[in-house]
Amino acid sequence: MSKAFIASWRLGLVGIAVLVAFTCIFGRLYYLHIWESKELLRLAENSRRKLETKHSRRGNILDARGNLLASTRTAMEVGVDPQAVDPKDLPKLPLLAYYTGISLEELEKRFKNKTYPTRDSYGRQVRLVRWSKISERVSEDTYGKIMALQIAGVYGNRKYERIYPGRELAAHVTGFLNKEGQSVGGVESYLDFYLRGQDGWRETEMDGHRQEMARFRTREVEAVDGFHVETTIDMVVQNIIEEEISSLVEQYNPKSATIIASEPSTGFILGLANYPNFDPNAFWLYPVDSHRNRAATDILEPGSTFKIVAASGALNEGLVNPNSLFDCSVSEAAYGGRLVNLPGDSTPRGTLTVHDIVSKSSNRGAAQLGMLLGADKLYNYARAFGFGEKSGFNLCSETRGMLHEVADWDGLTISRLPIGHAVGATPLQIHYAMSVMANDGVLMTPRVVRRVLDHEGRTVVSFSPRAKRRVVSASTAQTMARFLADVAKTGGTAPRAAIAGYEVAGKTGTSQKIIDGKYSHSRHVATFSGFFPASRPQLVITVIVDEPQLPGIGYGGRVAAPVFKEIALQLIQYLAIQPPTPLGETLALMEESHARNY
Amino acid sequence: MNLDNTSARTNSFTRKALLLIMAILLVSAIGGLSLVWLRQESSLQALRGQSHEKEIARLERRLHQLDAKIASVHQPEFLKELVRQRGLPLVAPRGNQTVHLPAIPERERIVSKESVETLFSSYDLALFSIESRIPETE
Repeated sequence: MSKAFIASWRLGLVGIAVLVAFTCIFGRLYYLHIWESKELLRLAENSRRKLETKHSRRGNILDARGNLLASTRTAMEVGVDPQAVDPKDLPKLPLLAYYTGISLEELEKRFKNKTYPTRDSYGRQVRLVRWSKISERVSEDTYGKIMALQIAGVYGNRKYERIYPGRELAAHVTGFLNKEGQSVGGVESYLDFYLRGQDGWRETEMDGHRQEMARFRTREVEAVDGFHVETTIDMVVQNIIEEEISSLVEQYNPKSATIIASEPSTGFILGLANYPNFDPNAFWLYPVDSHRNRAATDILEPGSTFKIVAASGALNEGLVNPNSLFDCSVSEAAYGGRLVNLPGDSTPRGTLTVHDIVSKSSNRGAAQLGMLLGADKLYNYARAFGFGEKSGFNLCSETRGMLHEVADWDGLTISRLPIGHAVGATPLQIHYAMSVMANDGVLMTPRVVRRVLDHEGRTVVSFSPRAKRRVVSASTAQTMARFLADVAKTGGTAPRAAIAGYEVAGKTGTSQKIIDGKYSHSRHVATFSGFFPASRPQLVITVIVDEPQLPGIGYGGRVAAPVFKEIALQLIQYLAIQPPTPLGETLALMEESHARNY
Repeated sequence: MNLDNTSARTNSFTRKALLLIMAILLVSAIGGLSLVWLRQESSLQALRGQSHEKEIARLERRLHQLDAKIASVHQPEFLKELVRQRGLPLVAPRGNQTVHLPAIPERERIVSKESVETLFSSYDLALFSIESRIPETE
């Protein structure tokens, strides 16, 4: 047995090599575990741990009877990773195109386009496409069918989607969510705080395949879904109103139109619709102009509907009684030591009572009532009726209208304001001013939201009816209601609003539009605002039509009053509004029926 | 004798030490296995919980889809279209088809007092109201 000879220098070399190797290993270990430990730990932690957001579901918007006006459901955004596409799956593309609703050519392009040009900091000219969107939203059912096709590289991301089942129905009341999920207008915006809920989160760990390891969940905060909002809108009433607007548009092709229906005693709005309208499910397809809630944002001259201010003011102050006479044939009247020019009437009038001034809508008579009341009181009554101030309708950026301070009036304002000139009002202000007459002289705050409720249906926030102020006494309001009831009779300005068995009270308005600083003779705003039954008002309805296209003048009594009647007839049936039967007549009927039986 | 005693004590100590080591090993093994079992169980439970969670989320999604679908078919426009498509003779009631019973304080008083009598009276009133609308043929 021979002994192997190992040279000492070789042994030394091997020793040094081993030493260097170990030094490197320990050096690397030192670098990894001590020198860069914090950064490396952070990287490892980040790739392993995951903070997952648990999205809350936005609450529903309901109508007064619990029907859904807006809801939230999940939808899938479907796309393809072109890098993972298997050519064997290409025959399945026609079916995928059918499910997603895009053309086959477009779909093939998305599957085949694997790169896109770029110029990044590394000097690269192209980058790989890892996600090419096929459809922004498909339903869960459709997504299930797409997944059943088993096309490599096709997958979807789940997201919440806001839907409005009624489409255009009450669009201006609900508002909408834009593509960024921000609420725009309506209840969506006004009560966003309650509707949106609160997102939760979860801290967990992922495995190498980026799958969650449920056992390593540490901290978890549950998402709290948004509350539901119950509105005062009645879906059926809203539908009736919108159908009437459609008929109106078909007949007169106006520039815009607004119809409001509300309960006078509570101020609850049962229906509110504007033309032009939009579908909140596809708001981007409509002009921005159509998103505006004209009932609260647009200003128009109220015209003759404003006459109720001067007439009820003079009555309330005891300056006149229903039978006080005014000479409406004169063209001038004395006011403040000077003669003021009076506005003309469409047909010459002689001497009229206060009752007739209202029912026949005399401009000269109304101007004289305003002058009798005086500038300060006329202004104060106009303010008390809600003109020149925000009504409290919070669903959009409401305008306060235009009512100048007395100090800013010119010499003619005292005779023009009582007939609704030199004042700008929103349709809501006109509507709620008429509601004062129907509510025994009390101005109510407009209400569109009844309550906010939780998932068990318990009330969280209640929006009860709120009276703003008493404008005129109850007796003045009742007297005015009697005057206004004659407006819808033969001899009044709106016999077309009359309903057999129901006493309709209301006021027409036909205001000329100001074009290039002058009152136009061809462009008008036709208005009818009224309530019924006059002795026991249940509903107030206002119809405003901007620039109706018809031969001749679009008078309120001609254009707006028939629409009022059509809506009222349908609502009488739907809301079971009883005709006001005189007590004596009812008792006689009962006695007769008893006598017949016993 | 002393040597024998010493040897016996040593053997006894060795046996005891061995027994102790065995016991320690046994306890460690059982403890270790129990720990693995516990972890496995907790992992299984977590997975089961996760699966239930997914199932609940799936059902909730279905529920919301269904709610939205129900809401869509409850829309007045949709119902009218359905009536039109199926040719159903359904129309909203007209004014002359409705009989309103007067809501007067007297009636309310009778309701609280003699409800049966009021019921007949109301029925009679309704009949009377309908009869009064039918034009006489002779």
